[in-house]
Amino acid sequence: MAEVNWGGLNIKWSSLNNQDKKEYGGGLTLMLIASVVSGVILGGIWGERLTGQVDTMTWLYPYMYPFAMLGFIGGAKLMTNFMQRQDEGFVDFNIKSNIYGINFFWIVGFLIAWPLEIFMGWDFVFMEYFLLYALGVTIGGRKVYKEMYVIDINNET
Amino acid sequence: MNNNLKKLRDELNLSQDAFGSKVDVSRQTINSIENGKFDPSLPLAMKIAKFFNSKIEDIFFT
Repeated sequence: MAEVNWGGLNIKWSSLNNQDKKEYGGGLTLMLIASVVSGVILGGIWGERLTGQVDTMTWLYPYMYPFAMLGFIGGAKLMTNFMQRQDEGFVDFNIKSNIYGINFFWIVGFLIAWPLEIFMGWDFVFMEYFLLYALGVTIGGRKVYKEMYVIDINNET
Repeated sequence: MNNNLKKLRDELNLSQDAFGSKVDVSRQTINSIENGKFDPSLPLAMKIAKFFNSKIEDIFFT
């Protein structure tokens, strides 16, 4: 069964069985590859807009989309398989910390980032929104971990 | 929801980890249940009750 440590931000690798490791590691790897491919596509599309330089690689991006999509779908499938085998406490922890991330993302996105784009002309590219989400998950993960598990470390009998 | 899981577990001299493996959940999940941070699903509550040879309502109560 997967356990979390380091304030809830990391899955404890030693608590995973071999199948868990394959699927969790494989899922993360596929997601990383898909993110890199997406980054190249988005960088190409937005780079032209931001820098004004003509991008000679534009023809390539439509062919790269399927690989990014397949990477995300495959990664999500592996992560779903992994989560389905975990116990309900672990799933509950992840749902709670992700809800913090999503709420943080929407609240800060709508209240700060979006108005800055509309009224101040700031250019928030996708990376900034992703960082908002990541920050929210980080805060939420730590908070939920403290609520759910920290007593455990001190009071285990 | 309250429970007397810790008391029952202590009577059998089981650690959270050992008890967790008996009912197929992690040590952290047992801890969260004992501290009232997480309410178990009905299947898990039934599994726990069966392990202690008790009724669910004797272990979990409001």
